[in-house]
Amino acid sequence: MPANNMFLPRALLFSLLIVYGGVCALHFSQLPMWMWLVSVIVVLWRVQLLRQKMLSPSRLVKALCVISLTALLYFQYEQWFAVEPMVVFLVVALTLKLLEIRHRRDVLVIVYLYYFVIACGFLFQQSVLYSIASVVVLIFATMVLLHLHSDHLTVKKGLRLSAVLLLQSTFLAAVMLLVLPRINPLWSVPLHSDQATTGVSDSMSPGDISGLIRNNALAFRVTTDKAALAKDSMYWRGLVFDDFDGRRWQRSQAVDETVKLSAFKAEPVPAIQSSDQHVIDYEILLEPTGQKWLYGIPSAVVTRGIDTPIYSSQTEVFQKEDINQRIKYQVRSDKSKLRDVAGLSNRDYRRLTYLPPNSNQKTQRVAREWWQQAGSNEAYIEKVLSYYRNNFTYTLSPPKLGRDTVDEFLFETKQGFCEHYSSSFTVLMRAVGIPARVVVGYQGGEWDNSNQYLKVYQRDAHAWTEVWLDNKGWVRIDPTAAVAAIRIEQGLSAALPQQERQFVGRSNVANYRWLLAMQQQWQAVDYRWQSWVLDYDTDKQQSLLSQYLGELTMSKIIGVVVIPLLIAALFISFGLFRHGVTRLSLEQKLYRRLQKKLQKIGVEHQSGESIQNYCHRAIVRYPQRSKKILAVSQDLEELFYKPDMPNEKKHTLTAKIKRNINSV
Amino acid sequence: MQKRHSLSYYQRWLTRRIPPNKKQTLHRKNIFILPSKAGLGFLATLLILWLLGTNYQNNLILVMTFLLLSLMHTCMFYTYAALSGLSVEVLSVEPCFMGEQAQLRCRISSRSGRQHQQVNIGWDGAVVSTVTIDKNEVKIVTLPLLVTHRGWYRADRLRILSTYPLGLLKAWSKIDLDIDILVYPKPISGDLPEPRLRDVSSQDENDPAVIKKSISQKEDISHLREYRVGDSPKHIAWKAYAKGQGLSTKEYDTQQTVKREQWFLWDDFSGLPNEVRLSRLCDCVLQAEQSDMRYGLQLPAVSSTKTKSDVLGSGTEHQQALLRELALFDQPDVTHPSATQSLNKGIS
Repeated sequence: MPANNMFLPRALLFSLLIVYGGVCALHFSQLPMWMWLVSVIVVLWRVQLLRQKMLSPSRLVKALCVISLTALLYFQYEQWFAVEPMVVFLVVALTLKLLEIRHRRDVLVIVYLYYFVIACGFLFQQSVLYSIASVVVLIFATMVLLHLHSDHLTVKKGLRLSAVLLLQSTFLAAVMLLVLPRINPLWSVPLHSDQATTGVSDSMSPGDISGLIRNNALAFRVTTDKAALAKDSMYWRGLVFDDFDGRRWQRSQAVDETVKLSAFKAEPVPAIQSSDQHVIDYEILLEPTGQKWLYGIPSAVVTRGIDTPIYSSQTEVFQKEDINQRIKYQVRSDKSKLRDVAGLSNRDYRRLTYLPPNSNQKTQRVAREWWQQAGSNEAYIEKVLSYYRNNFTYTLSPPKLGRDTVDEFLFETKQGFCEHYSSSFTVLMRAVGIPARVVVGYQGGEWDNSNQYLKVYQRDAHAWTEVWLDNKGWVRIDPTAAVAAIRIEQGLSAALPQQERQFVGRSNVANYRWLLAMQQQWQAVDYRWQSWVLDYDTDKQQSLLSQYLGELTMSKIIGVVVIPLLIAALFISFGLFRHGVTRLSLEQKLYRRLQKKLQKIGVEHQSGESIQNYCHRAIVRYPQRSKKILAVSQDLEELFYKPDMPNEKKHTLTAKIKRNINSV
Repeated sequence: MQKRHSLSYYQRWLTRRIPPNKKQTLHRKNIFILPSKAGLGFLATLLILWLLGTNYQNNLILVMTFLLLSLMHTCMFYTYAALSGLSVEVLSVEPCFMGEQAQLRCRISSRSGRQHQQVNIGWDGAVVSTVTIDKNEVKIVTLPLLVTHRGWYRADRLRILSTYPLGLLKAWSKIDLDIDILVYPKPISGDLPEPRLRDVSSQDENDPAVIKKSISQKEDISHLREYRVGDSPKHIAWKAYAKGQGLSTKEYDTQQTVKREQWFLWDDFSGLPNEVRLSRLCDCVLQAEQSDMRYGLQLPAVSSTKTKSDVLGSGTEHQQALLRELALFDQPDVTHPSATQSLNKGIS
């Protein structure tokens, strides 16, 4: 084994620090501010150590560092078992380890930690650009390992070799990703601490949903008969918000309380007759949300997959635990009605018509005027919707709103998207005493023809309104549809103005055509990345394998394992062994031939022996063949020691030697 | 033949697989490759990464895990290539004294057309030399080897190891370069034994007990000449110098002086253990050669000691013959691998 206690070259330590910078940059958004300070101090300390201007930390100092940083971490996150504190903890460990590099082993530990932390970055970000950046850091980290095991390697050469090594490994890695059987999560894992939820959250203030709309992640898949899905009914209802503080909508009761209360009450689940034409059966595969509520078309009853589903009085469905891994459940929905038609109590009525008295004064005044002009609830609703239809535009980048959000939106900016419309519409209803509430969930989805299911993405997040009409009960009204009907019918990007379409609300995009084209290309790349790499899962793997391999037999499985290994081996070997063994010269070949011939008759060649000597021994042993052997010996020597012999003569001599050797 | 079985199965297998030869070229039949300790650590890291990727169903983490795993697969070829095509040949083996390190000169060459980075050469447990061999380069390395017993010492298999490029795998070969080193006893310095004057009348030159009278006589100084730089301090006339006559050198009349002669006898050191006797005798031989005298060695006849140089003499060849006699005293004069190995065990 190479000596463990070796002198670590400066270049190696510097490249270690460079990779450290790269790794920290990859975790830019996760690392707390104080961590940056710590990093800078440690790197400076390390550099001073290198220049021998400072001493390495004593045990006491190290122990203090560990304790204080761990304490800081705990104050920051107040928990350990979430991804973020764990990753930051790893970075802290890595940082402190930089101060005590003494042996090769320490460098190894650091590089392995680098690998690990680089991979952890994908828990937070998965975009194409981020992945490219990660690969670059990976190449540098591998270069550090190279530096440990080769002499005088320049940075340029090291990077090249490291990149070549990784490039040569991609083929097999891709095959492994495609073919290796995938396993479901072995145990439930905690999600991020402050990004605890993905998707719709339990409150809504301006800007929340527009954030989601930029998110191309899958929310859930719906397996059902395609014919049963009509665009106009695909409102995947999640939560109901009935409490408004002038800016922000939320449930009047915390979700956790609802779940607890309902568990005791055990509300009877209404039976739905399957023969009804409004009834639809489907299965939902929900991605982890970190929340408790389930999605479905109202009114939904979970028939399988959830142990004890809980139904709230607002027709929401919950499960007891947070959804931290993908779950699958079957639902039967009655599209015709929302369940709680029994009527509203006075308390409910007050709650559902309440508006904070000091906010959005103008909206409340105008609402009362319009109601008087309309004369009835239905006419009033129609009047409001036509106001939207005639004056508003649908955009994902609306102007910022101040304190009285609804006033400003309705009478000044008049630009917004679903959350603005549903929020202001609900306020307009409540202002004239019509009970109303905001509902959030998803709307629409994308039918996947090859897999026969509907994919609902985070970007399909939506908010709409439900109003109580005395004779009809709860009625769903989507004010966004009044402004941008196409949003509801054809999905989000169709509803957006031309220049906003391809970026789903990214920013006001310049009108340059080439930029647009480039961004469209980029979108396409991003889409492929999403659908081919990020969304690749067991389903896709199986359909891919069955598409190309048909039914799996033993021989096919062996082929799938062996052939890629062979191809990879050939690919790598080509680079390594293409020089082959240095060619023997003509005379060396001939001499080799003579040696073989003589070996057969028992005269072994000894290393370092001259031709003359060797042949002499052969002649002594076989005097009767002396003439031939002597001739070969002389001709060979001539070939060996007269390199500038003309080619013709060379040829005749070669032929003669060959003849003689054969006849020996 | 029973002794042969005392070799472990592994040793016998190794002997069959890589038979002894003065020149060995590394190729796929004599290169072994396995993950190194660092490689096992790497695999453990990958296992944790795979768990992370699986539990979060995160494709990119899985991709990175697979990429690193297949990086190890790629390294396998590089590590193998770092050794393949190297040739090692023993150039010379000098005899040495016990307690010293034998110096083996080896030639390492490559016909592979590749650079061989950081090739570790040594014996089990000790890397002796780390060399980098460039394309078609030839390097001569001297490998020290600590010898542990007198007589013919069979060198262990030489271990050639490489962990290039990333240290995740180690490729190695254990080649038997068929090296037998003659190990002389360790010289223990002391005074030369008193010459014995047992039978003065005998004139037989070869009689060990006879010592010419001239030995005890001082050599005659013919004259003094002026000191020249380079003259031995032993020959400086210190007495004359002390008298203030300046530096002058004593010139001996070599024609007239008769060389000292002495037989060194086994019994000169009676009472000491055998090995110590041999060590003392070894020292005598060295001293005698130094002091320019004719000397000889008389050892008791032991069945295994066959050749004897029962003559007085001087000079390097004579010295080496005597040292060889001392080295092989009570030791087999065979260099065959299996025989020496089994016998070595019997002795130690």
